[in-house]
Formats: sequence, C-alpha cells, structure tokens
Amino acid sequence: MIYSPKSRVLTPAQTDAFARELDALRAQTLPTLGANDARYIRRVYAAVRYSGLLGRLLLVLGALAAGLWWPSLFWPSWIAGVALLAFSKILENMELAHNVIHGQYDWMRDPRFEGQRYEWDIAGTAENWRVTHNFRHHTYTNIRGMDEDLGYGLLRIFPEQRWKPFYLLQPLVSVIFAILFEWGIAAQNLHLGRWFKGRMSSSELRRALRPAAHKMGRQILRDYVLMPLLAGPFFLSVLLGAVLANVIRNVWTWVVIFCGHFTTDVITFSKSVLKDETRGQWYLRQLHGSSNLRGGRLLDLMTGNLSHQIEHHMYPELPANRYAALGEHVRRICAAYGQHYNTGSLPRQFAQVVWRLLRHAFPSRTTREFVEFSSNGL
Amino acid sequence: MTMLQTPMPRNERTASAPIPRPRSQWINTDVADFWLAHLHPRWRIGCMLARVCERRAASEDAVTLALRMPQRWPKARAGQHIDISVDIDGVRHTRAYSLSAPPSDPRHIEITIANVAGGKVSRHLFEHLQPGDVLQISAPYGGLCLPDNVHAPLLLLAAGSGITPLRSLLLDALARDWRGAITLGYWAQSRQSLCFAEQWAALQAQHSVLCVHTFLTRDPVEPAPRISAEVLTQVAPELAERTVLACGPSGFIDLTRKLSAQARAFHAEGFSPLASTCSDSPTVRVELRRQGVTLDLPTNQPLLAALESQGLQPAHGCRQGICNTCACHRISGASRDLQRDSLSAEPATSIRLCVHAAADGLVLDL
Repeated sequence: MIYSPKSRVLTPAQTDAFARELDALRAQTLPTLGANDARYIRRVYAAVRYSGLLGRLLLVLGALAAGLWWPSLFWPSWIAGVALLAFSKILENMELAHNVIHGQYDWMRDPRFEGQRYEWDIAGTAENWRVTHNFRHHTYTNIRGMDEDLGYGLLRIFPEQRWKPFYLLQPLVSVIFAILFEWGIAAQNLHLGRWFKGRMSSSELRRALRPAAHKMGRQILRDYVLMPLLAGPFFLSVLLGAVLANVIRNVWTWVVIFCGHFTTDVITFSKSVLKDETRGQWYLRQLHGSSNLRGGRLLDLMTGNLSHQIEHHMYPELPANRYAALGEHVRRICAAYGQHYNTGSLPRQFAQVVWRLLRHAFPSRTTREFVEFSSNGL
Repeated sequence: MTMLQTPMPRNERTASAPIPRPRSQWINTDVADFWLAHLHPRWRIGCMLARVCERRAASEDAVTLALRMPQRWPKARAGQHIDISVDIDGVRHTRAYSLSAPPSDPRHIEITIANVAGGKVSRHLFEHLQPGDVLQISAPYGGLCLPDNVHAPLLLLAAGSGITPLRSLLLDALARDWRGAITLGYWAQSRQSLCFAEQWAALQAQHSVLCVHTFLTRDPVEPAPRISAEVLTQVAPELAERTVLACGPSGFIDLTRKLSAQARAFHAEGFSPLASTCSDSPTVRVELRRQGVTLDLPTNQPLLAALESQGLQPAHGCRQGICNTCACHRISGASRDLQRDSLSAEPATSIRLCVHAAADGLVLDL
C-alpha cells in the first residue's frame, strides 16, 4: 500500500479498524434511506425535465419570434435557452444519471430510478459507462494500467506514466478533449486504439459499435436535427445553441471529473496493490486516489455531489444526496487515523489539475518520496 | 389479508412479475410518462394506473375497494389476482390481491383488503386509500377457475383472506345460474375479521343451491373447530362428488389437500406471509425465471459464485458489491444480504448477486 505523502502509515490492525469505522458509517446510513431521499431524486428528475423543456422552447420559439417579429428578442432568448439546456444536461448527467446508474436509488424499487435500466442524455451508452466507470474505474481506482480514467489513454497526468513526444501537444489535446468530452466517454469502451494496433478484429469493433452508434445517432438526431428543424428557416441559431449547451456540459463535467482525481496530492497505484488487498487498504486507495471540492450546496448540486468525490468512492452505492453529511464523519475518521483528506476550492483544485497537465506534457520523474509497503503492512 | 405472496398460486407458473415495460428505442417511456402525468393523472404508457371509485367496509378489519381500470387493461375473470404497487416511505412495495367479485364490466373490479398485523402494504392501503386515489396495478393473472360443467357440485374452502378469490368465484357461479350444489366453508378468527358477514345469509336465501358455513376459531364465546375430517364430513358428506377449490395460508392448504384426497378434483392456492422464515438447510431451491432453470444453491455463498459453480455465467464486475453490474431482479422469495447479514423478501427488488446469498423460495429474473 502506498500512502499519500501527507498521511501516516497505518499498521494492519489500524487499517482494519479504519475500515470498520467506515463500514459502520455505511451500516448506520442504510436503514435511514427513505421518503426524503426519494423526494430529492424525484425533484431532481423534475428539475431536469422542466429546465430542459424550457431551454429548448426558448431556443426554438425565441429564434422563430426573433426572426419573424422582434429581432431584439434574439440574444436574450438564445442565451437563456442555452443556459437552461446546459443546466438541464449537467443536472441530468451528474446528479441524476451518474448516481442512478450506480444503483444508488435501487432501494426505491422505482423502475424510473433503477441503475440497470437507466439511459442517460449523453452521446455514450449507459451500458458502456457501467463497464468503464462503475466497474473498472470504481474497482481499480487509480491503478495504472487498469483504471482507464487515468489519462483516458490520451493524457499524461502522473509522472509514473511513460513520457512520449505526443504528450508535448497535451495542452492543446486537453482543451479539445474537454470540448468533446462526451464523445471521448462514448468511445472509451470501444477501444479504438486496440483496433488501430490490430489487436481487435474489425468484426469485434463493429459489434461493439452498433449500440454505441445507435445512441450517438439518437442524440445527434434529437439535438442537432429535429430540434433545429422546428425553427424552420432559423434553424442555424437553434443548432448553434444546442451545440454550445452540449459543449458547456462537456467542459464542466471534464473540469469536475479531473478535479476529482488529478489534483496535486492524489496518488496512483501499481497493479501489485490488488494482491490480497484488504477492505481497509481498499478504502485507503479510494481516499488517496480522490479529491474533494469545497463549496456550497449549489456546487454540490451542479457537480452531482462529486464535490464529495472521496465519499463517492468510499460509498458509490449510497445516495449522493447523503455525501455532504457523510463527509463530516469521513473527515473526522481520516483525521483520527492521520490520513490526509484532500479538499479545496474549485479554483485551487483546478489550478493543480492544469499544472499537472502542463508539467507532465514534458518529461518528468516522481519527485516525492513514497512510502511503499507490502500488502501485509509493515 | 388478501395479501398473497408471490409467486403465490401453487398451481400456477405465472407468478406476478413487474409489468413488462415497453422499452422503445426512440421514446423514453419514463420521460413520456413524466409529461403525460401533467396532462391527466392516469395517463401513462410505461405502467397502468387504476382509480379508486368507492370504498366500503367488508368487515371491521377489511375494506372493499371498487377500482376503475385503464382502457388497455386486459379483461379479468373471477378468481384472478392483480399486483398493486404503492410507495411507502419512498420505497415501492408490490403485493398481489385477488378480485373479490367477478368484474361487473371489463373496466371495473373489486378487491378486498384486510388490515392484518404485520401486513405493511395492506395496512397502508386500508388506512390511506380514499375514492379518487390512484394506484399502480398490473395485468390480471393466475387464479383458480370454476369447472366448465355448471352441474358440478362445488366445495369452496377458505381461510382468512382466502375468502376473496373464492367469493368472486362463488358470485360468478351464482350469476351463471349454477345447477350443482355449492358449499362454502369459511374459517375466520373472529366476528370482526369475518368478511361479507351479512351477505352470506342473504345469498343463501336467494339461491337454494348455496350453503354457507362460517367458523370463528377465536370466538370468545364459542370457538369453532379448525378444519378436520369430521368438519369436512359435516359440511360436505358426499365429498367424492365435489370439486374442491381452496384458498388460504399454506398450512391450511396442505391440510385441506390431505383431507380432500377423496374429492373429485382439488384446486388450491396458498399464500404465506412475506416476512419469510429462513430454514437452516444448507441449500435451497432457486428458480431462474428467464432461463427456465431450477437449481439447488447453497445459502452460505454469494449467488454469483454459486451460479458460476453450476456452470452459469451471470454478468458481473467487481465481485464485491461496488459496481452494480451483477444486479438482477429478485422476482419473489427471499435472499440474504451477506454484507449486512440481513434477510429480505420484498418482491420485484434489484439485488447484487455478488453480495447476496440464496434463501427460501428465491426466484430470479435471470
């Protein structure tokens, strides 16, 4: 087990005790899930629907009204429409879909909020997301070579990743990746790289591509064809509005996700940690592989409570609306065991991410002294 | 206590299951239903909603609800059941209830709900439902039927809320001008829990073929005997000619089945309370509904590992309860959450195979 540099090394007994305290927190929370949590997620669902419809109506009707009668109406309605549609998509992707797909609200037994059947408003399929995110990223968090979210096969974020000249383009690649983030996510489980290298047959790729292409087509048809067509001759402004709303969502989700795992104090792990990994070591890996964003309730809502990334990684199956309250206990437990709890404001954490992206575009070496122990402890 | 555990009909393979929701590739039914609900309280495409038209007492502890069904609801016949789903404290609960009268027309049915101790859903419905309320319902399914021959002598044996399907069959038989004798033996605990008490005398007066015997087993003055060979001989001496239809708790059904060995035919439906008792046996029988397979699986091992050792390959990911990849519907029966060491038996619940072990009567949507 590797510890982040600001943390104390725990004995196996201490690690077990740490796990027991965190397990107890889950056990205390589970029986309290009920009407309030159900009401919360239903309200989020309603907010997504209302804001989405209103945003789309403003874009389409605003374009028609401005084009036919009142040109001065154009910018106010267009800006409000884009903002509402972006808000709706951010809320849907982050607070609703991401959490529902984790199965956080399965206990409600409402098929609408069932993790296995939810499909979300983004280019990628929920089916692929369940594999890349729910399984790989959450099980193998920050393990090099197993957690594909470490750089997404495109970026060098940690010095432990081998440098290639391609990474010199990283500042530019990062920006493009942020703008097209949903398409990157959509392609993540298709493993196009393997196909390029000839390690995957074309028929295999075609099979994986079919449902993915269907989903992409559906999203494009709805946002970029049908909705603009409703505005008739003024389709262009609606199309551009829809593109911008999707891009705003892409960039925001990219920022939030990168802040969750790529801040300065976050560490990565080698595959060897998996050998005989105890529950306590798993918790420690989630803790040292994640970072929080300090902010208010609005930030919690707009990040889908990924502002509590640490709590999300320790309890991916608990409803996200509980993370803020759980966080106080997790923080206390971490302090008691001398474990660094990585949190900071959005500008501070994001600045660290940007620095990593710039610094590791160039050759770099691990400078910090990591204390590494066998999985059996001291 | 029309509460019937699913899969409750012992003679039926069609246990209640969640309504197959149309999953159109182009229309998200959940989104469509969200907006339809704004247009009309009962318009849905992903599920079916019924309206409570009338509420009247069936006994001191039971209430009969007249329901108006949606247009696309398939026609039900006497003796069938429907599933009713309600949200209690944010959690959806689904229970089967029998039609307590033959449908007066294809869109109007009646169910009778007894407020039994420990019956969470029945209690909720009993206490809260009022005319005008909306309920989520399933299509009708399963159930006992009358013989085709109207001359066949019938013996109906009901215990507790088992009266509800038998009442609908009995009323249906009378409406069809039944020619054979109809005898009803109805066991209830007390006068308060005896459903339709006033109706039985009136029906007997109207229909000469009908004979009703009620038994109050916990009557403070004169407790009646439980079902036995002697009681059955008194009620229906010529048992060999009778077609027996029985409904009640599973213990009652087991006994009735033995006592009716001489009967011309025997059809029964049993139910047991949901709070399932867990037998200590090391293996239990598990049904995989989709694959049509029944297996004996250990109760001390995660279902995922147990299924794999039987040569099956359920979808899975982390194997430690994190990723939800192996989540699968428990259609009915019980399973044990190994992480929390707790037993649960709610039907239509998503469970993670990697952290749940099999328990009694488990049916998986796999």
